[in-house]
Amino acid sequence: MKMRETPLSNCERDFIRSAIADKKRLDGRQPYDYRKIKITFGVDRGSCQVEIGETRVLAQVSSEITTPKQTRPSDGMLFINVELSPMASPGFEVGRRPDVTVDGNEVKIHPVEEKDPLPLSVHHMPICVTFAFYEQGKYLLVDPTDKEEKVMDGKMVVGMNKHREICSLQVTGQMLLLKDQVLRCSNIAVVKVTEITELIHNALDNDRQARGWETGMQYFLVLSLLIRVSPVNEKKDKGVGSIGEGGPSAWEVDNEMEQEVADEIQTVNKSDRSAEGNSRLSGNHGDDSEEEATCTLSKDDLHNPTQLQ
Amino acid sequence: MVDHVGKVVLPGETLSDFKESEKTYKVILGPGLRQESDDIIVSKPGIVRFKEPNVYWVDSNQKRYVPVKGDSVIGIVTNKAGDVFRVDVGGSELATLSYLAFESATKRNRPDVKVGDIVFCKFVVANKDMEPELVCIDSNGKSGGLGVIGRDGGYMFQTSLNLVQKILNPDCVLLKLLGKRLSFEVAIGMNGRLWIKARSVSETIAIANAISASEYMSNEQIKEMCKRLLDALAGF
Repeated sequence: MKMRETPLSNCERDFIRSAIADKKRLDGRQPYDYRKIKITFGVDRGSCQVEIGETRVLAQVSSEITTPKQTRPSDGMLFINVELSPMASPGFEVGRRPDVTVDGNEVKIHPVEEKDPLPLSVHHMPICVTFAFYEQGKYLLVDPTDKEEKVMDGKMVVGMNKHREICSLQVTGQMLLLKDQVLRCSNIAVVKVTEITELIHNALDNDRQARGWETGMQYFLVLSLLIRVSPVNEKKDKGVGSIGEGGPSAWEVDNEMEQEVADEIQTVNKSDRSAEGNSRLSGNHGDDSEEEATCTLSKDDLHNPTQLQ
Repeated sequence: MVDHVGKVVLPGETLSDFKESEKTYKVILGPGLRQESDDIIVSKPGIVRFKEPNVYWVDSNQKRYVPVKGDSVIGIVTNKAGDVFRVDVGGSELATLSYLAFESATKRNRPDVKVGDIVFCKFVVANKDMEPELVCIDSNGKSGGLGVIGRDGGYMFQTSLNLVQKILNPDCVLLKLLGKRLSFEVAIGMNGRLWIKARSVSETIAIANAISASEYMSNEQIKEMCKRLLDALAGF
């Protein structure tokens, strides 16, 4: 039996709308901020846990050698299975498992050699960035939460890889988008995709190194890469892989157009800085250092957002 | 049965040797304990609690609300059906709220309630075999704070049931501390929904996040957090 989802009350809708008009978000993020991403690898190879904001996903990769399809003898097969637990949302149907099967030619599975299995050859990683639009495109939010999605007029999902190739573009909702907006969104997407790709690569590199040191040992190896929140920190090194709330942009940009976008975001952030001081405690209790790679937060850190500056 | 108290139990276990009231020779079973013929069976995992003289229940951390008679809850009106409103309270079933169950409502004078409004109301019927029923008046026909809320702004959000109970506990300092420096209105429903209205959007968001963050904090930690929050809001 499919359960009802909780309806959205008028009160919530009005509040979220007015908050967006005020350039504020319920979780203390700025309009163009992504949620915090944390990537953790499990003990076994091929298992990975990702936390994006309050959402947690566990992924497990496994492979076997089979006969390829007659029609495509040089290609492997890729199956993706998604399980949505009714514990996560009562709206997910109980007792049925939505199956998604993808036969692609992008991923090949190499045969397992003597001992070490070879990694899959992933040619490129498209990453989806969602934009929500409000009041006919007057306001724009990156990475909306479920409540923000319920209130929005429409959304655009841009799938892009780090080579700035748009792999998919989907627009839903009842609104008209101007050409400028689409371009602006794709520029923001470039920045976000670069960040996230770099983050994933860093996490993978760290994991590979850690596994290299501990070969053959059954250590409980949990490697985490915590992306720190940096609301007000001017002295930030370029290229530090951090995704967080507010703060000036630390994005690596080599294209003039992207520089413009970054500048624009920076100015937005600057103008919001005074307001941000107010809302800082509201959403984030993280500290301001961004080079940490551990996830242990002491009690003081949790409640001292200003101390470390 | 004093040896069960404070222990972890799982659904399906049978318990015995309950302490009866000396006057009535009765035992009161709370949530998580159920009588099946002669046995008392545990129906949810958790810790057995006991309160003098004869009350037993199972304590667990849950988010799913089960209606209880007399609880004040915040519901969302989902539709109007004849003489009743159907209200979502987060339970397994929609509750009904009669349009006569408002202050000074008569057959002619219908209350002004729209679909999507939030109502602060009390359960008069909450039974596992019957549809739960809500009212927005007390036995004297007065509203006493119940009724439609959130017409003029404010924000409603969902937390766990434990957090709501913690906030309402007289020992909890959270609302007292926040109330010292900020002026805001709050309605707390036992179904885990809270409605807050402060002077500005940012204050409302700050209070809402402070409440959500305090779930696993001790009173000392809450004091610390409130101090920081109030300083940050004041612009220090």
